[in-house]
Amino acid sequence: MISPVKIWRRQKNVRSLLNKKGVVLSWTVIYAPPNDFKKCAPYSVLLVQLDDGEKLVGQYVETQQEEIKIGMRVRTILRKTRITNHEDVISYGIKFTNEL
Amino acid sequence: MISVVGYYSTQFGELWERSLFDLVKESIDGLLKETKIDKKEIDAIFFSNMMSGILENNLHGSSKIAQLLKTHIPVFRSEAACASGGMAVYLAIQYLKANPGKTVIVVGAEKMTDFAPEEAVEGLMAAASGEEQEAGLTFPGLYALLAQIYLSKYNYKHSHMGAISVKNHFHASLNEKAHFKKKVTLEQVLGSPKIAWPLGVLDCSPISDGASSIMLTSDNIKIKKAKHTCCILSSEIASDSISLTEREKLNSLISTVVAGNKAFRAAGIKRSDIRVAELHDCFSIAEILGMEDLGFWKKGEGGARALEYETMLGNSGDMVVNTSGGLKAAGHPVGATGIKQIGEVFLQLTGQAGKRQVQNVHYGLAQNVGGSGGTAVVTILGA
Repeated sequence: MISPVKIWRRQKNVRSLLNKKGVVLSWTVIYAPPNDFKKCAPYSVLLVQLDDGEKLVGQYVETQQEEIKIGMRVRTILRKTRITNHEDVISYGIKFTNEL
Repeated sequence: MISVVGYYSTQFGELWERSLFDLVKESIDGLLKETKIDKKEIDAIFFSNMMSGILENNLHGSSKIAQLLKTHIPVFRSEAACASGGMAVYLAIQYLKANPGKTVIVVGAEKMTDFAPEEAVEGLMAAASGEEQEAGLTFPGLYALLAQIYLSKYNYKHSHMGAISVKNHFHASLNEKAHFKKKVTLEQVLGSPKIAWPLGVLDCSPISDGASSIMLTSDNIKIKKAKHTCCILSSEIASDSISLTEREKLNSLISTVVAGNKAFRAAGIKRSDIRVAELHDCFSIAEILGMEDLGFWKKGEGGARALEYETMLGNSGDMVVNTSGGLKAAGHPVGATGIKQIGEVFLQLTGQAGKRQVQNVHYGLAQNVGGSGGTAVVTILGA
C-alpha cells in the first residue's frame, strides 16, 4: 500500500503530463509483475521521449502489443496505475495510448 | 598495502532450512576457521544486505551480528541495492586506509526465497524510482528496456545476449557452491518462458539465499602469515540517477564507465592485464554492457563477441569472465554478490579455483552494479 498522502502529492504532477505526445525509445512486456500489478500481467511498458525532450515510463493501454515498435508515436492519458486493497485510495498516473 | 587473506561462501540457492543470520554466522565462522584468525583479532565488521528490512522487518543487523559473535567491535551496514556488497568492500578499504594495521571482515547476505516471487520482485523495486514503480516495471523490465535499445541500435538478436547465459551456466557447472550447477544450451535460453520481453527466465539471475565473507587486513604480520593472499590495487564507486528517464545515454551505464576509469588509473594497470573478471550479469544484456563500459570491448561490438564465447573458460580469449557462474548461474543473494565476486577473484589469483582455475592470472577485476546502474563499484586485485 502507498500512503494516501504520497498519492495526493504525486497527483499534482500528473496533471502537467497529460495529453503530451512523444516517441517510443524502448518497450518491454512484463510477465513477472510486482504484487500490486499481478492482476494486469502481462502488460507492456514503454520508455517514451516526449516532444519537449522529457523522458517518461508508463504502461501502454492498447491490447495490440505486437504493434509496438521503437520510434512509434504515442500520447499520454490518465489511468489507474496499481491495484491494491479495495479500501485504499486509488492511485492514478500516466499511461500511453496511440497518437490520434 | 591492503590484502585479502581469506574468503568463505555458503552454498547459494534455495536454503529454506536456514535463516539470514544462520547464513551470516556460517559464513563468518567458516572464514575465521579458514584463516585461522581468532575473532578477537578482528577490529571491525562491514555487513551488506538489501532486503531484510523490507521483507522480514529485520533491520539493525549490525547488532544481531554483534550478538552472534559476542563482540563489541563496530559493525557497519551498507545498502546500495545489488551493489551493497561492493560498497561494503569499498567502505572497508577506506576504513583500513584510515586505520593502518587493522583487520576487518566484510560479510554480505540475503534471504530471498522465503517469499513469493511477487513479493521479492516488489521488494527489489524499492531500488528503482517511484515513477518506474508506478509503471509496473521490474528489474528484468528495466534491463529489458536497455536490451531493446542495445539490440536495435547495433542490429543484434536475442541469441547474442543469450550466449552470456550459456557461458555462465557452463562455469557454474564447475562451481560446487553455485545455485545452478547445470549447463544450458542457447536454444534453451532463447525458448525459456519470458519474464520481461525479450528477456526469458534463462536471461535472468535467480532469487537466491546465501552469504559470503572476505577478510581484509593491512597488518603486515597477518599478510605474511596468511596461507593465501592477494592485494587490493584499487576500488572505486560512481553513481548515476536512479531513474533511466534521467539518463542521457541508454546504451551504456555511465556509473560503470566512471568507476572503471578511476579504478584502472588508481591501479596503474592496463585493460589487457586483466585475466579474470567477475562482472555484474544480473541479466544477460548486463554483462555485454559491462564489458563495453569497462573498456574491454568497443561499444557496439559486445553482441558479436559474446556470441563467439570469447570469455568462456577453455577458449582462446585473453580473458575469462564470471568463472563463478556469475549472478546468472552461481546465484544472486543480493547482499552477498559483491563480496562473492571479490572472493572468486581471490580464489583465481591464489590458485584455489579448482576445476575452473584460469592459468597465469596476475590481475583480476570485479564490477558490482546497484539498481539499473545508479551505483557501480569496480575493484581491481593483484596477485
